[in-house]
Amino acid sequence: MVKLKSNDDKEFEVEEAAVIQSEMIKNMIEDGCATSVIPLPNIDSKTLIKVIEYLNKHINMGKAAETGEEDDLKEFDEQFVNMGWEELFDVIMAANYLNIHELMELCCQSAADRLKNKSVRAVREMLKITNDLTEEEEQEIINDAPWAFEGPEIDDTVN
Amino acid sequence: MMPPRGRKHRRSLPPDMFTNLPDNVIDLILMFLPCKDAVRTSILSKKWRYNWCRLTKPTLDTSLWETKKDFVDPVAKFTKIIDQILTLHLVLENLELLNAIEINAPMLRSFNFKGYISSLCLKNVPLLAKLSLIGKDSYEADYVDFANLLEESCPALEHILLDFWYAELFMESRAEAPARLPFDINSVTRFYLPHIMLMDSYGLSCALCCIRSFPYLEYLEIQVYHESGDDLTMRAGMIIFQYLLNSNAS
Repeated sequence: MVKLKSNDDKEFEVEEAAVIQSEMIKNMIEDGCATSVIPLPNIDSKTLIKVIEYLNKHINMGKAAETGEEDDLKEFDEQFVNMGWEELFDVIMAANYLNIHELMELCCQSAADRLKNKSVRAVREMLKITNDLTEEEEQEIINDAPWAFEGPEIDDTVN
Repeated sequence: MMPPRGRKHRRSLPPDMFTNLPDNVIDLILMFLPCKDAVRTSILSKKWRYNWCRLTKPTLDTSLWETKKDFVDPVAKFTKIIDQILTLHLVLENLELLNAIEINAPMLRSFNFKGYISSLCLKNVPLLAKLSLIGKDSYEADYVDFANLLEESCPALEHILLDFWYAELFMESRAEAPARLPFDINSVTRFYLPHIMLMDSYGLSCALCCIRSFPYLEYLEIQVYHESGDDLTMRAGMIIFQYLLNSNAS
């Protein structure tokens, strides 16, 4: 078992087989630096619980293919990313820090799926992006690639 | 795609949290977006303007220039889009609509084509270093007129991968390929031919024509397509090929 500590001082025990999906922790274990608790100063307990939930479910990725549990895993992934933007970005940041490639891909794919076909206005509103461009600058950007800003599929709704 | 649960979460999102994500995360999200959506992020804010340009492989698909409503010629529309994307890398996949493409992209570094096409011309590609042409997996003969592929020399081209079934690289002469390519691509150091058919003498002469045209070749990878022939014919073909290769090298 490996002990992880979140930045709000909560400790979690995770099976080594699960936790080595994190390249960072895998390297620490290989270098013999994981004998006591591993502090994770960038990750709060709420996010760490999510990450551990993912790691435990994906513990035997290879086996899942053999035993036909792939669908189950797919369903889990779909449910897993069903979270708000802030939570999603927290998990992405944690996965990035811990270097868990599959989790990064899953969450970034989810972010992309939510943004696909969204209008500029909708993306700005959904993600609270401060627009610091002048009208002239905006027009210049549109003129650079007008085809990217037109089309019947562009969706202006915010959800 | 499931919408995010609850409005609460969205409201609590700190402003510009998305914009302030690390570059590698933004790159990954952009990579999963269709090219059109990725390019559209350039207008989100000043910080976003050139984020999409870091995409190493923007992928274009036919939906971009399929013209249902307007009557603009798809080829013209496509050419315009390519001209506008003064980008480093370009991937074209599963193309069926277009018969002829002309690519004028002075900044293009890597070009990856997969599909069915009768004429492809790279016009102004002085920086192109990597070229990969892959035919569609079908038994129909697909061909690229290699003789007219490059309009002028391509001084930076180092890697070439050619994977065409029943490749017909030179449309004009079917019996035998020319001794050398009609254009100058001396800088090629790595050449990959994943589907050579030893019993196809035309295909073989095409391969040899290419190899002869790359005097500074350092690495050559050839995969022989397993033809339905007996071992002896196979081996004979291999010996002939090796002989041609050796005589070519000397």
